[in-house]
Amino acid sequence: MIGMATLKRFMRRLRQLHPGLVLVALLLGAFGILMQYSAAGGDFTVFALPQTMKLLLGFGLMLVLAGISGGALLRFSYVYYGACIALLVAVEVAGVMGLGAQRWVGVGGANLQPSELMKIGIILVLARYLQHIKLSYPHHFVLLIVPSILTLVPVALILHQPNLGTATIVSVIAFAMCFMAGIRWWYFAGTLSAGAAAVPVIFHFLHDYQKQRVMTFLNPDSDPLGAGYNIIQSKIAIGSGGFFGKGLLNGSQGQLDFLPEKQTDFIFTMMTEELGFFGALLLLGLYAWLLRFAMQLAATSRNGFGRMVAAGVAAMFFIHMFINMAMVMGMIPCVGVPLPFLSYGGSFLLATMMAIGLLQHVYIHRHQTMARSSKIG
Amino acid sequence: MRQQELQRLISRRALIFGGVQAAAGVALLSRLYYLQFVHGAEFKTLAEGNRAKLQLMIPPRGIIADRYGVELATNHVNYRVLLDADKRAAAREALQQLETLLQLTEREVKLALELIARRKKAVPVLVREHLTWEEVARLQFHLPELPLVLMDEGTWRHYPFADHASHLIGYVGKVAEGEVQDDQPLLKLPDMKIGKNGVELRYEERLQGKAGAKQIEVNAAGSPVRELNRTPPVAGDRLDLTIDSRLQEYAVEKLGEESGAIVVMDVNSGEVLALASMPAFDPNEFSKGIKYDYYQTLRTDKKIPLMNKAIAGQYPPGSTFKMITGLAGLKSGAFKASTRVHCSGVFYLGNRPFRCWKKGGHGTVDMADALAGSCDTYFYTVAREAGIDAVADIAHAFGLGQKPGLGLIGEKQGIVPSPAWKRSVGRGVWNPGETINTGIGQGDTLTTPLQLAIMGSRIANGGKKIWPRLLMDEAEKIEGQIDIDPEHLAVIREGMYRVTNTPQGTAFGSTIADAHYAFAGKTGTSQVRRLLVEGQDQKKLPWEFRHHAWFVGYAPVHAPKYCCSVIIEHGGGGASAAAPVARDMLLKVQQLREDPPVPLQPAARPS
Repeated sequence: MIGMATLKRFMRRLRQLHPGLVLVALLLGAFGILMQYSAAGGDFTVFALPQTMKLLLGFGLMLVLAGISGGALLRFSYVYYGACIALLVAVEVAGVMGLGAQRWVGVGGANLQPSELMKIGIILVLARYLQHIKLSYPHHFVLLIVPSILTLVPVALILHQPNLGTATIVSVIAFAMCFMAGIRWWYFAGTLSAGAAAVPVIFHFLHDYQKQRVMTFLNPDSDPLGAGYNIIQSKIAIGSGGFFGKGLLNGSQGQLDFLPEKQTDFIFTMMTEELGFFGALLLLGLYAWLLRFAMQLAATSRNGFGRMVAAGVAAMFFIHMFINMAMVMGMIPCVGVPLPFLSYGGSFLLATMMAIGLLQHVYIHRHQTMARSSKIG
Repeated sequence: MRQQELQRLISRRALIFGGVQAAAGVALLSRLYYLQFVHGAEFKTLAEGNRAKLQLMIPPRGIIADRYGVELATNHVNYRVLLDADKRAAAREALQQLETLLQLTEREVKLALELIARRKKAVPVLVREHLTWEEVARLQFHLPELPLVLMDEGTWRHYPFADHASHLIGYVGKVAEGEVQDDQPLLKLPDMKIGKNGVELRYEERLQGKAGAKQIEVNAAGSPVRELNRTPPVAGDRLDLTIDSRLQEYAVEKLGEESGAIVVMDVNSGEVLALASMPAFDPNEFSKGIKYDYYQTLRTDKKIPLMNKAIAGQYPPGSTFKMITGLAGLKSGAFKASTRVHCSGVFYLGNRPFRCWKKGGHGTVDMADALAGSCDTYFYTVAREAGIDAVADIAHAFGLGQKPGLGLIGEKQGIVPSPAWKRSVGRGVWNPGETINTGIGQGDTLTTPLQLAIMGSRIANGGKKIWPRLLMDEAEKIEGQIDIDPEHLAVIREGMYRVTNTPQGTAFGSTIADAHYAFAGKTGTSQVRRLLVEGQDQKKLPWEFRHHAWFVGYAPVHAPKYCCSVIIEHGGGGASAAAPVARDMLLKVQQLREDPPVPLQPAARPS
């Protein structure tokens, strides 16, 4: 199936990898492993080791995605999307309950979170669909129908798990991609107002714990030992960090168990407590570079698919970073969303590295116009 | 749409999206800056508050000792066994093992399980305290197998003299709700005990010491991780009392089964050498947490063991008051030492008869004789001639009707009746009959044994206004000199001498033959119920209706040093019941003082 010629082409493409992107990805990955080491209280085996394994696996995936041909990727898009939908259904049927929600399914000895993988799926499938969009079409409101279905099916499945955070993220990625595709923005305005009007209705249908999250956000001190505890503790930990932080492994709030979930949702809190404002600047600097790289490709890549993928990846990274950091600093209600590269969690780390791989792919193919891609797809 | 337009649209969109990202980034950084720098100090404090807890350490309580260093109140180590289990099942298992090791009762097990179920934080629960040496050894041996069990030491207050000095020393107990103020965090600790009465309460400030503090780092569960720093507690002061424990023991022995009190004072320095009140209670029972049954027994006993009769028992002084009357008479000029009065057994105030205790009377007597024989008639006369105000003045000058100033809780000040006093308590106008009664120490007159000791001391030391004191390191308290003619005092003292050393004296039966130790004094009998039948035999009456028996005296006569006052409640007659006790006390104190033990720890002296 994969002949020598294919392999040669693969290697040739790999030589065109953007070194800066590889470096930034590795730096962020290493940063993450360092934080996992601290989260375990100075023990490498608890979180840091599994994270490293996943990172290496992800690095492999990145190379694969970067090096495959444009056509192969286009074909892969629908397949991947289909597989993710299948997995989401499987979770409904045979899912493992964790943290009071069905989110995992066991696959060959490992636990996979299909909802995380769906993030890549939505990027690929929407990019596939939106790349040929004819914006001259007079009522291209109709153009929204297919993307809506493609988005709503997984979002519904994810919401049913229940997983409000990921459902939101998939929706936002879809939204951002449609925006970047050029669809007239007052169609969005319509959806947005419909969405805003629907908020009280949705609130009524939310699960109790989700309702509680909103109430707690509005007043964390109303239940300082219960729901508001996390945010209050997070703000204390962050605020007490200072410019250079308290030093690695010296975060008193983190190390003394005052911070729950410090290896996942509150990893940023732990990081700023230990490495201070300086550490946060470093992290945000790396993220900013990543986003700039993606946005540049989204604006200048000469093929539609590449632009869409880059925009999707940018949206994915952006929304995760923003929600996580805003949440732990008490700017928005408590929504559990991982921080790219830093949070502990295999499925999302793999998705992250796949996203980097996709960016590399887009970069490598940035000069190829649509004609070339569509011939094959 | 042409390529160019599309390109422009895309660029614009990218710019907008990029702009949103940049704005978000700025918002995040601003928020971070806000948390870390604008409110940084506040959060740093909260972080510290999370992790560092201040624990107060109870200071060791000061020891109370007698004048030779014999310990009257000390601190003993209290070994306790505690259980620190989260789950009921684990607790039950541990308790089962402890049951066999320590022979826990069913009640102890039930209580421990209840406390475990109810506890909020990870605080170990007390299973049993005051472990015996054997239990400690057994527990220690098996401790490694019992990971949820802890052993610790506390202290508890121990009183070696138990009920022999209980009223004087007092006892310690848990701090009650109303006793704590906000600026006294030490008193809020559950194991803290403070003085409840006696010396323990009076000198609480000196005995308490200063709390120590430990700063420990805790994690979110409240479990200690490590100690950050500590300030050690300062032990309370050691108090050396003026009491001689040998004399105190002797006093208790002398009181025996009787209900009463004994006070022995040094007439020149005011040092209290013995202060006993019987029956008493065992303060060690209070120290460990008094049992309900024992407390009920104490409360319902007719002889009132919980009251310190030496300072709180107020009784009519009876004939012991006659010295006051005599001095008032002499001072007023109405009487001279040689003035004679004929006693026929009855005295008339107008038409009203006042009887003398001696049927048939004493015959014609002068003041000294009258004192010796305790003639009521004589002193009725003196009282009438001198007037109640003169009598009251002298009474006050000799310490009656005033608080003795030891500061012990329950100290009473007695009553010296007078027209002014009667008006002030709203009982109206004074009638002359009351003067007569007051003259012989009956009626409304009330004194405590301590007050009589003060009175006796002032007579014995030549009229110096001495006040009693309990601490070796307190300075002498002399409030000047009583305005009294030394010759008058001499007459009174002669009378007191005759009471115990001449056959006419009412207490001659208790005389000390050896002139070196000879004592002088006065008997007293205070009526509880009016004599219904003349000459009624006291012994035939029920106990609670018999008269109280008094004696107050001093020794040695040639150079007075010690004064002793004795009351035997419902003892019958002063001569028969109280005088022998006082005699023994005065003899003993002189003998003991000639044979002092080597001080175990030198007592502090005033600097």
